[in-house]
Amino acid sequence: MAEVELIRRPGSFPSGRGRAILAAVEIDFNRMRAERLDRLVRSLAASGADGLVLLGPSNQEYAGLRRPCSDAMRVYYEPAVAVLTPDGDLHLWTPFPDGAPPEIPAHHVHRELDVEFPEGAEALLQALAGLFGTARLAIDEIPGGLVDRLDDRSSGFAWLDGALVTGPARLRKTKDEIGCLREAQRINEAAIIDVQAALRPGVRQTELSALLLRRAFELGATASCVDPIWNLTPRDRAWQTPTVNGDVGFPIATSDRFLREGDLVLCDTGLVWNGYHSDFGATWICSDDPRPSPELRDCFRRWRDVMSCVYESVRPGRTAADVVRDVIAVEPNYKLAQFYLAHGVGCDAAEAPFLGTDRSLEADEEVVLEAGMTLVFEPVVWEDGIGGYRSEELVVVTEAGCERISGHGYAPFED
Amino acid sequence: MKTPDIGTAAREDRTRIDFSALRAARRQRVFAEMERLGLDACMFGRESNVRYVAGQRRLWTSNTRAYLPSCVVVSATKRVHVMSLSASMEDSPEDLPREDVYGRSFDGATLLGIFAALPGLADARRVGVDGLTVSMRGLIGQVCRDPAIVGAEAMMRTLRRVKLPGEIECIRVATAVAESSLQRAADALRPGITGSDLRAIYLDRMATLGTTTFAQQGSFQIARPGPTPPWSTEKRPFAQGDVVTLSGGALWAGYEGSLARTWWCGEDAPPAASRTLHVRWHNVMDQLVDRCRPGGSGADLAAAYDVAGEARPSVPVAYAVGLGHEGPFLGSGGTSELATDMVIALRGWVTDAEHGYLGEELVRVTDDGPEVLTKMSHGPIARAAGGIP
Repeated sequence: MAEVELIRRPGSFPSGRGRAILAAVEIDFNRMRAERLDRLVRSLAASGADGLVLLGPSNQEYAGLRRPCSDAMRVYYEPAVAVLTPDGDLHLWTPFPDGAPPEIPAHHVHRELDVEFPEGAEALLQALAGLFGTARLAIDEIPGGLVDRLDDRSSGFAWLDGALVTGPARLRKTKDEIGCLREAQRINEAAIIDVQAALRPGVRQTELSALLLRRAFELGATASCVDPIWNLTPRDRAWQTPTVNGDVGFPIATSDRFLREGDLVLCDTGLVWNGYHSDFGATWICSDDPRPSPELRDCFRRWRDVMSCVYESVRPGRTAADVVRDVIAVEPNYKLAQFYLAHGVGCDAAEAPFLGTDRSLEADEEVVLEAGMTLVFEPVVWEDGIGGYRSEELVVVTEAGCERISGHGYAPFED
Repeated sequence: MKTPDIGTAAREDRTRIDFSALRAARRQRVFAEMERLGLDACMFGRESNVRYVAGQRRLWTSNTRAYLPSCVVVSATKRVHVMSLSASMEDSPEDLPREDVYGRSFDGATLLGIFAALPGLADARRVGVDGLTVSMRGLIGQVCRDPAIVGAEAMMRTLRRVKLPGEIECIRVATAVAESSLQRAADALRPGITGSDLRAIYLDRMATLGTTTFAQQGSFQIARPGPTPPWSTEKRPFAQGDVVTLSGGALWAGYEGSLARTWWCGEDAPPAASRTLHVRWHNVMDQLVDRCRPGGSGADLAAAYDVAGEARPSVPVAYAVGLGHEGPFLGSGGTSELATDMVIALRGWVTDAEHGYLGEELVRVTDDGPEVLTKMSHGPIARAAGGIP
């Protein structure tokens, strides 16, 4: 019988108002792991590679291996390696053996390899030779110790980019994955309710982060993978610290800076639930009277027009270029120069597919939308001297079109 | 001697840490080491290496990302070029010229153009990288016309492990922040509270103190026996009589302060078995700390467990700390030599049939002997064990 994990847990600590909107959802984690592994195996077969070597934590999460959420350097030096064979066998080398999925036989779970050091890289090559002999292997991230061995033909390996396998496998989400994304997003938005209430003139960015993290983990978030952003955004680009492209600077790392009366704040928060990333973005006004000016409200209306267009435009079979062209017809200035219209979301905060990047529209023609893709749209409508509006909408592509997973409103811009 | 003055804010009357001088000293060390190793350029992707050489403070994300050259160091020009993720010069230190900051791109040809335009890079014959992907190896090959691509993480690790005085001060602040945060969680431990609630308290305090980025997200777990210390967070609420491990770490100015403790959940006195475990842990830790001397090795550190008559845990018992984790001293790194002004995290983990006991300390290696940087108490179990702090 499949193990079913109940998401809702009883509150054991005084919580914010956000907790009330959490609903019970059931996710079959065993089924989710099995379906993901199956997708990896099929993608591996299609890639022409003989095996898949995973060093990246989000790819390992997708393959079912868990590890603590840490700063990147700790992950490099407490390394796990997951190796997938074409017949679906998963072999793990990890300092966190109890993070291995329960269905993996114990003799496939080994002590970690020090892949940042030459000896550890050699041990990895030996282990791979034992599994594959001479082979074409796909690898997602090449660790420090392996860089010098990559061109070494005597190792018997030819290397392909692991993204060729993981990219297509992770593109479309399963029902359980979408359930995880819904829960992550709900936790994020529930925590945000208290944070927005705390946005008063004189608050520091770091204080908002403290409150967000407090609420999110009380609500059951399992990881914080992006430093929460409360971007103090001058309403005229001439008033901001210069940027390399002349556009609005975003996202700027949080510090102890004060948010003061009248400040425009572009926030962006991503909290994780069981490996799946939420994405909340909104435009706030830090003020005793946060009502936007008519001109700023007009930016919001134009932003809503963009999103209305997106909801009409997104459906299976359409390309990223189709959606971008539809948006441009409504609003030519729909994004910041360093950003895009939308990115995928799943085990990474931003992953394939990307829509409307600085690549050409021809490149976007190749991105065909399919049911099960989960996308975060983040258009920005900006008018120098007035300010602008940015918010994010998490959307799942369905058979019939698309569905909004985000549940938040647009205060203080809503009529 | 000076009265300790660890704080996170600038002081009007004295400079706690001269970051401008620190950035210059770190940059100079990287150029000198590149020259010694015959590297014409380095293309770094790891945030800690970028921070070391460029002093950049970009949006932090946890875990690793696939390699992307986001900092290019060119020996011939002595220039450091960095990628801005936000497009804003806010990402970069004020002493970095605007013309040395480049934007990002999702387009391969544009990215190629950006790198091709960096003075001196196209002529580099030996290029160091701190990670790689197969695709990025192809791109670097195009930019530099088939250079020798060599691993540079070992160079950075070796450099970074020996700290400048300002770096030691940053680690002291990070340690104080981590301790303050972990103490809040420890003070809140009582029957009925969950590990996730303790993590909420720990991260709340850390961010309130001004650091919203962590070295470790924090683990609050029942100390079950086994070769591996706990790393996950307990799902069920803690109960009277639980022995709970608390571990966490903060990053301040990019520098790490990490530690772990074992706490008792409940009002009554911890039982004799827990007190015994604490004493055994203390014996191991004394041995570990005493071995943190210049000229010592990772093998010496591991031997601390043997001398104390304890089984070695399955995880490295000693690792370097600086701009985050800087690699274990054991396993493949066992031949690493200890040197003055290294900062070492020491893990003590002992078990009996029922429980484990975890304690992690940070120690600075000095010519006058080890200096323990962590100050947090070992709580009710240590008090019950007879007042050993």
